[in-house]
Amino acid sequence: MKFTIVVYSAPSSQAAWSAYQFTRTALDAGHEIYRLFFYADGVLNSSALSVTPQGEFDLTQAWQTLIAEHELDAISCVSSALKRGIIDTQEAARYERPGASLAAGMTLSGLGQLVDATLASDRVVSFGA
Amino acid sequence: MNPPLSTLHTVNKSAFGSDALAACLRVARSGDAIVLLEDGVYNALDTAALVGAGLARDIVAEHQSRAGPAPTVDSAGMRIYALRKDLQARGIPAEQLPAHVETIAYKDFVALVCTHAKTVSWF
Amino acid sequence: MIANSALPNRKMLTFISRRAPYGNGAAKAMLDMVLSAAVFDQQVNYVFMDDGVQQLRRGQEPAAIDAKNLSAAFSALPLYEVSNIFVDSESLQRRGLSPEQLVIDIIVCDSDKIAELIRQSDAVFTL
Repeated sequence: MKFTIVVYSAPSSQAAWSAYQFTRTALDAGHEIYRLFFYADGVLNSSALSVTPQGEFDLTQAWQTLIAEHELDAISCVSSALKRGIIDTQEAARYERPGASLAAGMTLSGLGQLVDATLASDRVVSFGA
Repeated sequence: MNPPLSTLHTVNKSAFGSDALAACLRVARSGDAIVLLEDGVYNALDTAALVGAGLARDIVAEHQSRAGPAPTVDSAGMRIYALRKDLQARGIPAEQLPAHVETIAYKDFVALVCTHAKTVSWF
Repeated sequence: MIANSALPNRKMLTFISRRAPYGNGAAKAMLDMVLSAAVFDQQVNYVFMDDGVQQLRRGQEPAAIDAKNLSAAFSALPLYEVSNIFVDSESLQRRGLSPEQLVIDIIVCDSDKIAELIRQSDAVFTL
């Protein structure tokens, strides 16, 4: 089956880990992930700048690895992201910010991508806190 | 199996601090299933919470229409699951759970999403 | 949007808004999802339940806390052809609100109606 996973919560909530665990398990079971969509505080999962203390599970890194391994389409909602300081090089230049912060493998785009994903997927599963 | 239009609900908050379970139970209907995860697994210990508004209404209605044996949670026709990893993390032994709660692995959660028409998350 | 004729181009989507406005961004985030679905011509149901009904209360002046008025946006919903807007009667009642105290004309419904909307929908979002 084709899944879209919506993540509303920051990595500081277990809900973000649950989304990751669900995605991994669905892929292991042979399902397709049409899109990961990070929305509201969920965009913090796509930060390239977060540093996890040693000995703690690094969820943002884990997402990046999973996305690279399975070539997943991972989108961070652009309006949510800009507000929370998650910006790519293009937005950094446009708004004259000192640097980009969007993690590798993630793309900034609009809510239309969530509508598209809902149309294209058999199931939409949301994780919030 | 599940009716084709049945819904899988997920609840990830304890009923002591959130109205997520109450909201879910108000709109869940016979044939639906509920997955308890994260802090939602604490609700698995509390049969009274699960027999709250939604379930109780269905049970009473069904009981009155059938006039059969005394109603139980199961007779609401709603399956309740709790994620094993979340129970384990929180120190809740599976054997302490009431009989109507089934413990599941993540792969079972994925399978439940597939066998239900849609998933609604309450948080 | 990716054009793909093999895909359905219209689904019934239900959005259940359960958070009060201003304390956090959930209510606004949900409104943005609703508007986006409407712009892309989806069949939208917008449901206010639990503390979400506080978004509809008349007389909000969020400028007092440097916030944008969310309730003003609701009067623009018809422009987006969002007309299936529901409010849960029990949630209103428990908060001492009557339909006359709300900013827009809205369908007052019970939990059976919300259950029916969920059953009919292709996907349901809560926030």
